[in-house]
Amino acid sequence: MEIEKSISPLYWLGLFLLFLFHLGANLIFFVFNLEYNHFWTFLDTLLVVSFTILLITIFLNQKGTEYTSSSKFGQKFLDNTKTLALVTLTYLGFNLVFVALNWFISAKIIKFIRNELDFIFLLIIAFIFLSYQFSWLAQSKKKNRKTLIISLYFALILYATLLIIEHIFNSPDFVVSNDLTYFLIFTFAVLFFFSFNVKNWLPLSSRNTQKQILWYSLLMVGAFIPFLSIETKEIGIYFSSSFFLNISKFLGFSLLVTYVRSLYNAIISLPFSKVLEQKVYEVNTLTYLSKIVRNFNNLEILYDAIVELASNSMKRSPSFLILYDDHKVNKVKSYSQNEIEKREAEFFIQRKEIQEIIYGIEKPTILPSLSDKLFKNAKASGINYESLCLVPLFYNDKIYAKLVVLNKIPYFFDEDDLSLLVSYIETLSISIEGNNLLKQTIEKEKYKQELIIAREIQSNFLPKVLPKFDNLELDSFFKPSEEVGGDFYDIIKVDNEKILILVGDVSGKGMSAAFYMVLLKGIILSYNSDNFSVQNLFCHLNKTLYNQIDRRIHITISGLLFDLKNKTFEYFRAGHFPLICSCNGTIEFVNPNGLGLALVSDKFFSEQLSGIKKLLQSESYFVLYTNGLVEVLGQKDTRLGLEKLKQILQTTVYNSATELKNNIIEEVNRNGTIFDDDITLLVVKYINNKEK
Amino acid sequence: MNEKLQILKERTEDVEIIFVGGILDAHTAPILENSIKETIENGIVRIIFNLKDLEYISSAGLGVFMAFIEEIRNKNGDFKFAEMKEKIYSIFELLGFHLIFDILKSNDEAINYFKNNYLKKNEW
Repeated sequence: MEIEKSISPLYWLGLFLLFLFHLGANLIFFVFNLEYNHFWTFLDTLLVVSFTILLITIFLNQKGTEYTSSSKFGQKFLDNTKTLALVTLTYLGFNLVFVALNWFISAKIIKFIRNELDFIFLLIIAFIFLSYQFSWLAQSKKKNRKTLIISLYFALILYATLLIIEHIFNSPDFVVSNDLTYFLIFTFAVLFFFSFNVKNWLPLSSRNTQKQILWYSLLMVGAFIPFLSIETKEIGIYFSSSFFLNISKFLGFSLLVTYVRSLYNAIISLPFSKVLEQKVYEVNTLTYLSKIVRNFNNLEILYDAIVELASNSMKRSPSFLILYDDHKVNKVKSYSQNEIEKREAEFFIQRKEIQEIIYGIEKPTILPSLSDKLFKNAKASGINYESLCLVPLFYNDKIYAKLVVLNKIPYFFDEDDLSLLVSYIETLSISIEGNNLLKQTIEKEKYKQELIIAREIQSNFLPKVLPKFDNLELDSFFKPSEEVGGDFYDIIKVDNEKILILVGDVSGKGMSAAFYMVLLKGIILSYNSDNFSVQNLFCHLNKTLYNQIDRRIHITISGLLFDLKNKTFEYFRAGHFPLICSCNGTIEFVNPNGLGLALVSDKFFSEQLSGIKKLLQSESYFVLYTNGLVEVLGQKDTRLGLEKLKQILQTTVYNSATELKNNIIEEVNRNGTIFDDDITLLVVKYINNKEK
Repeated sequence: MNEKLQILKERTEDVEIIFVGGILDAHTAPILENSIKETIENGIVRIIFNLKDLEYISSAGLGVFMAFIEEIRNKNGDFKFAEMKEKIYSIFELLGFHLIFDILKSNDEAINYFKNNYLKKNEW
C-alpha cells in the first residue's frame, strides 16, 4: 500500500513505542489514581515533544512522487482516500462497539480504553493525511509551491512549539487560548486549500474515478464532523489531553477542507466527464491513427482501423468503408459491435434505395431521418436505420472510398461527429498518397532493372572481344549516356584480306535509339551479298531504314575498310564524322561525301555517297568515334571537339592503339563526368610487319 | 515559352519566318515540332527558319525538320534556312542537310528563293 511506501517503517516503530509509553504512563496514572504533579508534567511534555518531533521529521522527509497524467493522479488520490476511509471507518466501528459495551462494563474503564484508541487512531490518520498532503504539495507544479511548503512547515513548528510551551507551563486542563488555536487551525486549512489543487486533475480523471471520489469524499466529510465536535471534558484522559484535542481539531478542519473541495469538484465535473471522455477518446484515436497512417504498404490494416474507430467513436454505430475502383464498388469493409448488428446493417446497406443514396452523395453529409425524407412507407418497407453519416474520399478527382456510419436513432449525428469522420478520412488520404508514391518508386525501380537488362542485351550486340589481326591493333571504348544508347560499332571480316570497321550513331538517345541500333545491327547481320562493297551495304541500309523508321529518326554511319593485300584503306561516311588518321606523323581528316541514313530515298543517297581510298603508310593510327565524344571534348561545340581530338593525336605520346585510346579518354574525363550522349571510340593501329 | 528554346514567328505574305533560338535538343524538339505543325495547319508551306540565335542543335533537333519536309514539298512548299551560325552549319553539312535544304545568308535571300519559285532541284 501507498502508506508503507511514503512513510518509512522506522517512523511507524517510533510511533508505536511512543504510544506504548503513553499507554503505560496513562495506565499507571489511571490505576493508581495519581496526582498530576511536576514529574508527570515533565513526562507528558517529553511525550508530546517526541510526538511533535516525529511528525515534523516525517514531513521533512516527504518526497513527492511524479504523476505523469491527471488520470494517474486522480487514481492516486482515490487510493489514498480509500486508505483513509478504511482507517476512519474502523475507528468509527470501534466507537460503536464501545458504545454498546458501555452497558456491560464499567464506564470508567471503557472511557479509558476508548480514549487511548481515539488517540492512536487520530495519530495514524494525521500521519497518513499529512504525508499525502505533503507529497501532493511536493509534486505540485504551482509557482508558489515553495512558499506554501515553507509556510506549512513554519505553521507546523509554531503550533508544535506552542503545544510544548503549553504543556510545560500549564495544567492538563488548560489549553492555549482558544482563539490562537483556531487561528492556527484556520491557517492550516487555508494552506491546504491552496496547496491542494483539485481543478487540474479531477475533471480529467476517468468517469469511474470521479464517481468514486464523489462517494468517498462524501463519506470522509460525514466521518470527520465528529472530530470537530470532540470536547475536552468528554475526553477526560490524563495524559496529553490538550495535544490530543488540538490534533483532532486540526485534522477535522483540514480533512473537511480537502474533501469538501474534492466533493464539490466531483459534483461539478461529473456531468461533463462523459463529454470530456469522448473528446479524450477522439484525441487518442487521432493519435493512434497518425501512428498507423505511416503503414503505407498495408492499406488493409488502415481500412480496418478506420472503420472500427468510426464505429467506436459514434457510440458503436455500425460503420462501413466502401472502396471504389473506377466508380464501381470494389470492396466493402464493415464494423459493428456484434454479429447480429453487423448482419442487420449489411443487409440494410445493400438495399437498392440505400445504395442509390450513398452513390449520390459526393461531400460530407448527415442524413438525420431516412424514413421521413426518403421513404413514404418507411416502417412498412422495414427501414430500421434512421441516421446516416457519410464522408467521401477523393483521390486524383476520382471517388476512392466512402465512410458510412448508420444509427437507428433519428437525428443521431451532429456536426462534430461529421468533422471527426472527416479527419479520419483525411488521415486515410495521406496514407493512400504515401502508398501510391511507394508503388511509383517500386515501379521506377522495376523499370530501372529492365533498363539494366536492356543494356546487357544491347551490349551483346557490340563486339565483346575485339578480333586480332596480324597487321592491325584495335581498341575500343563505349559508354552509354543513359542505361541504353544508340551508338553502334562492329568489326566485320569481309575476307582474309579485308576488314571493315563500322561506327554508327542513331539520332536521339535512350530506349528508342537503342531499338533502332538493334535494327541496324539486324540489317547488317542479314546483309549477304556475293559482291560485297561498303557502298552497297550503306545503300542497302538506307533503303531498308528509309522505308521502315520514323521520319524524325536518322542514323549516321561510317565504314573503314582495310585491304591488307593491296595495302589500302577506304573510308565511307553516311552523315557521320570524318575519319582522323595519323600517317607517319601527319594528322588529317578523311572526309568523303555522304548523307545520313534514312533521310532521303536510295537514288539520291547513292548519288551522294562516295569513298576516299588511300595507301596505307608504314605506321598509321585511325580514330573512329561518335557525336558524344566530340561534344564532350568541345563542350557541345562540334568543330571545337574535332580540333581538340586532332590536337591529342598531334601532341600526346603513344605507341599503341590502347595508349592513344587512353590519351583520348583521359581528356574526355577531364572535360566532365556527366555525359549527355553515348560515347564510342575506336582506335586502330596499322603496322607493316614486313618493313619491320 | 521554354527557357531553353525560343520560337518567334513573322509572316510576310505566304512565307512565314520562324526564328529559332537557344538549344534544340531531344527535350525541346517537340516544342518546335508543334509550332511547325501549327503553321502548316494554317495553310503555310513556305517556311524560313532563321537560326541566327540558335546555339546548339542535336540529332533529335535535326529530326524535327525531316518530319515535315515530305508533306510540305508535296504541297509545293519548302523549308529554307537563314543566318545560321557556322558551328550549326557544320553540323548540317556533316549530315548532308545542305544537300537537302537551301541554306542562305539572309531572310531576304530566302524569300527571294521562294518568289522565284526556286526549289531545291535535287530529287531527294
